[in-house]
Amino acid sequence: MTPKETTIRKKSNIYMTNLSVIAVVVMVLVTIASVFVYRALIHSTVKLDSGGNRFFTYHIAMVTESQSDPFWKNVWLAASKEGAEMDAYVEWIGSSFTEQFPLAMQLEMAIDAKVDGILIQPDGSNEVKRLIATAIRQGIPVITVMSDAPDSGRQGFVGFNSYDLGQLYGQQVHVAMAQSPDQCHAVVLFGGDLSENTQNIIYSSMVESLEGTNVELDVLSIDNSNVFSAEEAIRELVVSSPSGGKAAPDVLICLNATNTICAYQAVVDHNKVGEIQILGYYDSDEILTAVEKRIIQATVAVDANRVGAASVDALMEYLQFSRTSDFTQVDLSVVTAGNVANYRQHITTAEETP
Amino acid sequence: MKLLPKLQRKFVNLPLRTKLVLVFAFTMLMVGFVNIYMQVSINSVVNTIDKVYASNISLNQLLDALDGVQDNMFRYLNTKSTSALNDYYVSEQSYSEQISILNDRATDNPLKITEKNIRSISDQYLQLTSAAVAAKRGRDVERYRSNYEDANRLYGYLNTYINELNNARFKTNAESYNTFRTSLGYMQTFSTVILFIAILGNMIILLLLSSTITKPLTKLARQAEQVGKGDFEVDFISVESRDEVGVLADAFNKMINSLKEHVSQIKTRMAEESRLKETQLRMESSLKESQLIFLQSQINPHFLYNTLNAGAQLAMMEGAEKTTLFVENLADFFRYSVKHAGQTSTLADEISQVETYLHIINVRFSGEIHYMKTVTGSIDRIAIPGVILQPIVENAINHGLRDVKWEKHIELTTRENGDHLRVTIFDNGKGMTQPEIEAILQGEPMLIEMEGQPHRGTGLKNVIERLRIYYGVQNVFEITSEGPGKGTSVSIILPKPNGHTLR
Repeated sequence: MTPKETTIRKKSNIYMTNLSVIAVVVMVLVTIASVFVYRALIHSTVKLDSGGNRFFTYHIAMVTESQSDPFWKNVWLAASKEGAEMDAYVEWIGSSFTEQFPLAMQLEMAIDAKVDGILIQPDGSNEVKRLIATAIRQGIPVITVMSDAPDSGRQGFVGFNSYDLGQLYGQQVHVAMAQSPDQCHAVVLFGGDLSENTQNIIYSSMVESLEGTNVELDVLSIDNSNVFSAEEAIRELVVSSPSGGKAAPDVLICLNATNTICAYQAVVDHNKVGEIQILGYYDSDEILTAVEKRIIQATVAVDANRVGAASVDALMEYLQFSRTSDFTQVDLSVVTAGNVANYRQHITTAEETP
Repeated sequence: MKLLPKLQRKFVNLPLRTKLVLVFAFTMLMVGFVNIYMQVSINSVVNTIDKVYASNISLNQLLDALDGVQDNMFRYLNTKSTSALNDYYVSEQSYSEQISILNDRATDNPLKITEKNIRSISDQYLQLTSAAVAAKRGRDVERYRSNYEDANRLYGYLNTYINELNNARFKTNAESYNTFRTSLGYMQTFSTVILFIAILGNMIILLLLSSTITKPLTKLARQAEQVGKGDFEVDFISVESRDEVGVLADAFNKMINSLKEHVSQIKTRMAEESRLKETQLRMESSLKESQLIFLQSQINPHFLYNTLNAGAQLAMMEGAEKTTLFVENLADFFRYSVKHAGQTSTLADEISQVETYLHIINVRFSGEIHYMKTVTGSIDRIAIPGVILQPIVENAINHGLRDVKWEKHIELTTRENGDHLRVTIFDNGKGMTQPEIEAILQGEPMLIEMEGQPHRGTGLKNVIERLRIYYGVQNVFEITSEGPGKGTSVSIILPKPNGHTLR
C-alpha cells in the first residue's frame, strides 16, 4: 500500500464519519428551523384575543348618525389615537351593531352604559337635546362635534364656523356660474346630520354670498333616518327633466361625504358630467379622485384627524380640569382640480407624521 | 471552530455501542421533543378555542337569565303572585352573578368594551326592576309603570348588546375554528416532515455507520483468508476510528507483522541448520572415505592371497603337508569372503566355504570339532546371499561348542521339503534358552568374550536381515534348542528355487 492510497483510504473513512455527523447536524437544524416556522405560522394565525391587554381610565362614547360615513370613520380613528395617548378609550357606539339605531337611541345607550364622556354630532332634534341634558345631569360631559346643540348645556363644541362654510360654498357657486352665466339653478343637499339651526346659518350665509346674482338656490333636506334615502333622493334629483315641473339643477351642493359620493355616482351613471356641477364635502380618496377628473368641481374639506383629536382634547380637558373652551374651530379648505395634487401631498405627509 | 473537529474525533473514537446508542438516542430525543412540542401547542390552541366556546355558552346563559328576570318581573307586575316574586329573586340572583364576571374596565378590545357596557346597563336595569317590584309591592302604580317602561327599554338595549357580543364571539369562533384547522394542517405537515427527516436521517446515519463497521470487517476477513492461505504480503488495514473495529484492525495488523517476523526467523534458522548438517555429512563421508582407503591399503586381498599361496608353496617345498593344506584353506577362505561379501553365491559354494572355515578352525581346536554333512538335492544351482552359513557355523562354535567338555559335533543337513529347501546347522553344544532364542531373533547383538576381549560379532541379525531382504519373506530363519546341554539347531528356510536359482 503506497502512502497515497493510505491517505485516500483514511480520507474516505473520515469522510464517512464526517457525513454522518453532518447528517445529524442537518437534522437538528431542520428540526429547529421547522419548529420556528411552525411557531411563526401558529402565531400569525392565532390572533383570537387581540387587544384587551391595555386598560384605560376613561371610556368615551362617540355617537354619530351614521357608522358608514368615511369622514366619521377617520374622526373616530383620530379620536381613538388621541384618546389612547390620554388614557381614554373611544367607543364608536353602534359601530359593532348590525342594526342601525337612531341617534337618540344610541345616545341613550351611551348614557345607560355610564361612559365617562360623550362626543356627539347632534341632529338638532329636541330628543337629542333632552338626552344631552340628561347625560350632563348624570355627570357625563358632552362635546358636540361638527354641528352644535347650543342650548343643551353641552360642555363644548368642536367644528367649523357654519357661516364660513356658507361663504365658501357661495364662492364656489360663483366659480361654477362662470361657465353658465345666464341662469343657474343650485340645490343645497342637507343631510339629517346637521341641526336645523346649522342648516339655516349655512343657507343664509350662502344666500348672502350669492346676493345680486341670478342664482336660484333650492334646498333639499334628505332624511338620513331612513336608510338609503339619500341615494334615492339624489338620483331622483339628477334625472328630473325640465318638463317634470322642476328642472335638473346646474349645481349640486352636498354637505356631507355620503351625499357627495351619491351625487357623483348619480351624475356619472346618468351621463350628466359637465351638465351638473357638484360642490362636495370631505376629502376621501374617492372624492379627491373625482375632483381630479373634474366631475366634482370643488370639495370643502375638514381635516377629520384634526376634528377627532380636537374633540377628544376638549373632552379630556373637561374631565381632568372641569373646564374646556366652548368652541374649538377646525379650519376648512377648498380643494379644486387646481390644488388637489398639493392637497393630497399635504394629507399624506400629515398622515405620516405621528 | 476548533471545537468541532475535536468533538468529531471524540465521536469517531467512541465504542461502537456508544456511537449507535448516541445516534439513535439523539434522533429519538429529537422526535420526542417535536412530539411534546406539538402536544403543548395543540393543547394551547384547544384551550384558546375552549375558552371562546365557553364564553359563547356563558353568553347564552346570560341571555336566558336576563329573559328570566324580565319575564318574572313582568309576571309579578302582572299578577303579583308570590311564586313569580320568588322566581324573580332567583333569576335576579343568577343574572347578577353572571354579570359580575364580565369586564368592567375600559380596554382596547371591542368585545371587552361591549362587556363593560352590558355590565353598566345591567346594573341600572336591575336597579330599575328592583324599584319596579318594590313599587308594585308598595302599590305605587305610577312608579312601577314608569320603572317597568324604563327597564323594558334597557332590556331591549341589553338584548341588543348581548346578541351583538354573541355575534362577535361567534365570528371569532368561526375564525378560531379556521385557525384551528389551519394549525392542525400545519402540524400535520410539520410532524410528517420531521418524521421523514428523522427516518431519512436515521437511515443515512445507519448506512454510514454500518459501512464504517462492515467495510473494514469485510476487508479484514478477506485478508485473514489470504493470510490463512499463507500469503503474508497483505496490505495493512487502515481504520481511522478508535472503536472496536479499529482495535480489531490494529490487532490484525500486529498479528500479521509478528507472523511475518516469526516465519522469517524460522526460515533463517532452518537454512542455517541444513548448512550445518551438510558440512557434518560431508565431513563424515570424507572420514569414512579416508578410513576405507586406509583399510583397503591395509588389506589388499591379492596381496593376501599371493602371500598365503607363497606360504603354501613354501610349506609344500618343505614337505609340511598339513601346513600347506592349512594355508591353502586360509587363502580360499579369505578369497571367498572378500569375493562374496554382499554378493549372491550358490548353496554349494556356501557349504564348501563352511567346510574351509571348519578346516581352519579345526587346526585351532586340534580337530576337536566333528563335521558331518547330509546333502540331498542339487545344491549347486540354488542362489543364496554370500557369507550366510559361515557366520552361523562361527556362532555355533563360539557360543555353543566353545566350552563344552564332550565331543563337539557340527551337522549340516539340507533337505527338500515341499516348496522349500531347509538347511540346518546343528551343534551339540550347551544349547539355548527360549529367551535367548527370542533375543537373537529380535536382533539384539550378543556380546561375547573372545580371547579376553569383548567382541561384537557380525551377529545373526545381519544374516537374518539379509536373508529376509533377499527372499522377500519373513519366515526364513529358525532356531530350536531342547534346552541347556542339548545343543542348538539353526535352520534357514530357502523358498524353492524358481526365481532364486542361479542361471
